[in-house]
Amino acid sequence: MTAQIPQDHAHIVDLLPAYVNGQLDASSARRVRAHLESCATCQLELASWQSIKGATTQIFAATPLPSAQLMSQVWAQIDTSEQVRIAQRWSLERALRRLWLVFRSQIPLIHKSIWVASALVCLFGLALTLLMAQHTPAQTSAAANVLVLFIVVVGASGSAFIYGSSVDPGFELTIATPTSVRFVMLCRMAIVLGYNFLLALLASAAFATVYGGSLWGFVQLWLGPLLFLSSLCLAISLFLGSAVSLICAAVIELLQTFPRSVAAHLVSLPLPSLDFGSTSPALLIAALLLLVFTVFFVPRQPRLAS
Amino acid sequence: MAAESIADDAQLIRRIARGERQALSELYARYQRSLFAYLLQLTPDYGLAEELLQDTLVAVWKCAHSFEGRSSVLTWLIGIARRQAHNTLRQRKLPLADLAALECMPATDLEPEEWALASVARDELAQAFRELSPVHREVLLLTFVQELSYQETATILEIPVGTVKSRLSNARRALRTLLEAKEDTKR
Repeated sequence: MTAQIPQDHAHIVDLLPAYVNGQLDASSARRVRAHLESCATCQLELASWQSIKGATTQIFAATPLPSAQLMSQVWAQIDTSEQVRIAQRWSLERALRRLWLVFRSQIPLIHKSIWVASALVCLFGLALTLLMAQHTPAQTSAAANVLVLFIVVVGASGSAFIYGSSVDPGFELTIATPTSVRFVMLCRMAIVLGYNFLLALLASAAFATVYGGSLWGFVQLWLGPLLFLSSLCLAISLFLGSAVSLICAAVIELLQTFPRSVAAHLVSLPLPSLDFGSTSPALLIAALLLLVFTVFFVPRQPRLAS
Repeated sequence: MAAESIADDAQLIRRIARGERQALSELYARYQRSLFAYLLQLTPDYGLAEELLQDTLVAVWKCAHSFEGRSSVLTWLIGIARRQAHNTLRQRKLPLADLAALECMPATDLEPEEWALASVARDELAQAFRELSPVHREVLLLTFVQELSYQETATILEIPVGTVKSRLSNARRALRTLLEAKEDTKR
């Protein structure tokens, strides 16, 4: 304590406890002593504080010690909390490993034709696009639209066949295991969507290399529609079956790709005015909402019905 | 506190932070009396005070790495013990002293002592001390037994230095009131 003493009596009083403890610096202590010599009130105050210090010290000396086993109880508590921490870390690692196993084991369960058909259709679309005569920007744009059509339909078709009793050889097994059907479906969706995304990216890279233009600009043409239609197809396939889902996807995408005037000319019917033309935040949000709805809906499928 | 002792304490905490169990045992041997006496001022229950001391040591083991040496080790330890005690007492719905009422006591700094506490027998004073509210016992203990500075006491109690001074005065006044009441009873 190195506080300076003001001349004010009130502050001398404030410093008396520190003076009793011997915590004042030498000059402050001298000034307190000088004040005390001439102030009877402060002498009484000092005597009171000295008594209080004596009494508290006496009480402290008489305070019992804690029991001798206290430290061993502390170690037991520390050991228990560390074991719990280690167990929690292990259980987290185990859970992650299990999730990875479930994810990986979905790959052989997905219908093999999805891999082959998707690659072939995508390749066909790319070849068709490259063969189209493209001398003007309008022709290039039309070719790009055709490639987008193939990419989106391939993606949507894949999603239509990833889950359900009619297309899954291990379906009975899936619904009989304690593994969450929601998680199984999400894993498959991620695998198939990831595969189709890769195919589409390769096709887009080839297209951009041959005809120039920005790869990202081209990706934006199909990314939103691919995600939206894939989610939509998954949802429809659960409600109405994979075939209906596939037809719906094809119809929607055809309506999008061909100019409405041409379509109206051919069938002369009022067509729905939907615009899934390119990637937009609204389309991405719609895709996400559809996926959330489907994940929520899927446990109400055969598992609960049976 | 000597500079050497402060450095030694800080070294002890660094060893605890590295996971040396022996260091925690040494720290306990050094401060068990101070910490236990402090906790016994907050609760009269010996078993509960032991439990709080255990919790304090476990907390020291877990958060030794966060000690920055801004305060002395004793101040830091009492601060941890105080938080543990307040949390436990609150969780178990045990009474905490009504701080607001205590702080509202009028200032008595300039009020002359009508009679000095020095004239009271030591045992009688010690008995009155035990009857004080925990908040008053706490500030007297930190000041006169642990011999902490006003600033260190203010840090532990999370109050301004001025409040430490006024709380000390209030504690003394409460002691005097208790002793006066005893005197009246005797007559």
